[in-house]
Amino acid sequence: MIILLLDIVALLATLAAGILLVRAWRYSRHEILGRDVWILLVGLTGLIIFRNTSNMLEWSGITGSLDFQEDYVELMLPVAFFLVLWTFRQHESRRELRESEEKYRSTVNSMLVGIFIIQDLKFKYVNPAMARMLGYTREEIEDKLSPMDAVIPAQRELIRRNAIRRASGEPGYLYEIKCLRKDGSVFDAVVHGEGFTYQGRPASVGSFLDITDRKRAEERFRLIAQVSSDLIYEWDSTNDTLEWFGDIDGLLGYQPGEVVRTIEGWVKLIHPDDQARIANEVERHRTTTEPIQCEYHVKARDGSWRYWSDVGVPVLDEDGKPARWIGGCLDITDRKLAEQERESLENQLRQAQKMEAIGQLAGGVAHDFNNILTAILGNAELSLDALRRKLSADDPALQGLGQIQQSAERAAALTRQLLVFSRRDITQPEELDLDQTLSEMEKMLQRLITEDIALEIVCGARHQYVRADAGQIEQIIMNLVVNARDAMPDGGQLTLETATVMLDEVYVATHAEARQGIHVVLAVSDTGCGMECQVRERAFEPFFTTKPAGQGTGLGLATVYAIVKRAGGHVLVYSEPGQGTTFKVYLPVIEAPTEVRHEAGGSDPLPSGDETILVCEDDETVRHLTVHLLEDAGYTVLGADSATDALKQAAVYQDPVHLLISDVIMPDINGRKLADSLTAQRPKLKTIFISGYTSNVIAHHGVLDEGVEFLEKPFSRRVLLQRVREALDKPSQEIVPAPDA
Amino acid sequence: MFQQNEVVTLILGIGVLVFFIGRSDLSHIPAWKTFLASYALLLLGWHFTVLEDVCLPEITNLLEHICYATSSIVFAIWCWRVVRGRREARE
Repeated sequence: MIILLLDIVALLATLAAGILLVRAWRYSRHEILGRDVWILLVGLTGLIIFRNTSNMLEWSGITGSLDFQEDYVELMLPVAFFLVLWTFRQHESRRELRESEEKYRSTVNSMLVGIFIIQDLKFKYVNPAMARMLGYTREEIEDKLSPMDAVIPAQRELIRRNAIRRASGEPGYLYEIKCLRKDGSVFDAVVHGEGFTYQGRPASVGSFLDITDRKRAEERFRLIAQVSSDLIYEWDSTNDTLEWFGDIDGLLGYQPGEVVRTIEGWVKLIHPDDQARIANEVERHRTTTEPIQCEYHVKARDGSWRYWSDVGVPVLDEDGKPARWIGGCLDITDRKLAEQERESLENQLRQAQKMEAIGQLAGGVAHDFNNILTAILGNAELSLDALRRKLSADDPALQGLGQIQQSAERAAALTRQLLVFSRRDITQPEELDLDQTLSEMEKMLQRLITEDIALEIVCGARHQYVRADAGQIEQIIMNLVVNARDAMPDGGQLTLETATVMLDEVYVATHAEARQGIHVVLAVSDTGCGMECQVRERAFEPFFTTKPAGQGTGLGLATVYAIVKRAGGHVLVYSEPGQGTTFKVYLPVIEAPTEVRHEAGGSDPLPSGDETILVCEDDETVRHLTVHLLEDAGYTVLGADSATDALKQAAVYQDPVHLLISDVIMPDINGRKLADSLTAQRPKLKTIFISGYTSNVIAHHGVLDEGVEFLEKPFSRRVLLQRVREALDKPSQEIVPAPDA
Repeated sequence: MFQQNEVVTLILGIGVLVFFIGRSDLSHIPAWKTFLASYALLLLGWHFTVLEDVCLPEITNLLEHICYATSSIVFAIWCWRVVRGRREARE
């Protein structure tokens, strides 16, 4: 019974299989299985159905007329299975081949790259892309067109040779050609071919790509790189190769190809001070996508270092990591040098502005202080004269007054230095031969220095003259020599030398205070202790001193600086600790001298006279003192506390007024205008101006005009009387009127 | 004793199996493992048919019919898979 059931199940299953196959036939027999396979399968299924039916009948008790046939059916089953399997396999192989061909055909036809087969120098096959590139239809090419006709005449031989080589079995290679379209236009293409056997005979198959756009882009890029001031590079961070689009070798002076095209080779060219930093940057940019932005020094072939700016951006891979870097390098050496020069000039300018500010402050204080000192000195002198007649020489009162006078004179000397520094003093420039000045000062300088210092004077600027105040030039030399002496406590060599130099525009561009032209340079060199950088930078600052307290005012070099500036020159200092110091004073050269300076004597009897003098001074103490001194010397003196008062007194005074002594700055009318007014009324009137300092009212830029008499406060009695006498004794026509405002 | 036709069938069946096993192109046939399983069960049934003449006729006969029934079911499944698979591929 069980066996019967099993046979029924088997029969039903095979019947179901049969029905499936019949239904498949109904749908589309060829597409689903193939006709031959389907027939064999149906046959196999029929055999199985027959066998199962026979079994079922046998076990159901129906003796089968099918028994005989069952043995044959059983024998046919393995054969049927074999045939089904074999046919099915063949059918599937054919089907797969067909599909494969279809796949490749579709692929080739849809490719943007041209594919071709050449045999006997004829195109045997081209894909649509190839036909499109050449401007033909496939029918116009295949079996008709020769590849020789598809290139420019100059390259036909190349095509022929390559075709032969490929046909002879040589490996194919890539090459570029210029192709001709059907319409005669030319385009660039890259070709790669391989030899193979086509229809039993040698042929070549290859690919073909129109690269006209790429070539144009390359040309554009090449031109951009050529005209760009940047040197373009591509760094492949996966293998560290470095490609330069530009003449990197030529730019750094190397032979072509000498610069190694790897990142390691490049880093070796970088300055040792920058190398570690750049190596770190290289490592960092293997992972980060931040743009490259750095500056470094690169070694040129001649050993010099060029300053380069490097900017780069990453080309990312599919993981978002930098695979390559495209960047540009720019030689910024000139810009950097210009920046350094500008910075240096700015520092010099700041220093000059600072000195100017300090000078103004010092000058203001000195000017007010001068008026006070004038009164102190004058009254001390008068009191001393009066007391000497009444008291003995060792009287304490006389000694006290003497000390007051000495202290006031020291204070006056100090304020005079301040005025020089602030350029509010009055100079009397003249043409000077510095060589002559040095020679004249040699003996005095010998006395100034100690015996263990060897003095050498080298005069190399003969016949070259500068315009400066002789006394101030001597002061410069004295100050520098004293400084040199103090720098050599154990002795040494002091050299003063002059020379003529030409300062050109390059020098002027790097020295803010310099002016172009021929200069006499006075160099004062010592072999002393030298200066630290910080000391050197502040050397010209007023009140800055490295000397012990009480041994230096800190005004020596500041005065040098101010005098040199006043004379239109500049001063430089060169010094290193332990290596000595050299000060170089540059003064512009003028032509031959026109006058000879005179020295005034100091021990002659006090000059006197009986002329009439009008003294105009708003400071009461100075006025009284001046009037008193002049009256003592025998003069008739009219005192006025203002210009208005002076004009009134001159108007009412009937007798001649020979000399006007006037302060320059007064509240109502300044001294120059007063002198102009009075000279207009009294043409023979002579004038002496007095002032603690002057401004452009009386002097041009602080320099007294030649012929204008000027007396600087504080003044001594001798100086006052000498200058008054000199002015009165000059012929009237020699007195030059004060300049216009 | 053995029936001659049964032995011949078994030898042919084994020959076909040996011929196809190990051929890589067998895999070109869709659902080939199912098809081969169906054939293998049929071949097993032929073994039992031969054995039925030697020993335990009732059991081996039962096993023979079980193999035939199973083989038929697996064959029907293979037909269904092939037809369905091709139809889906076509669609």
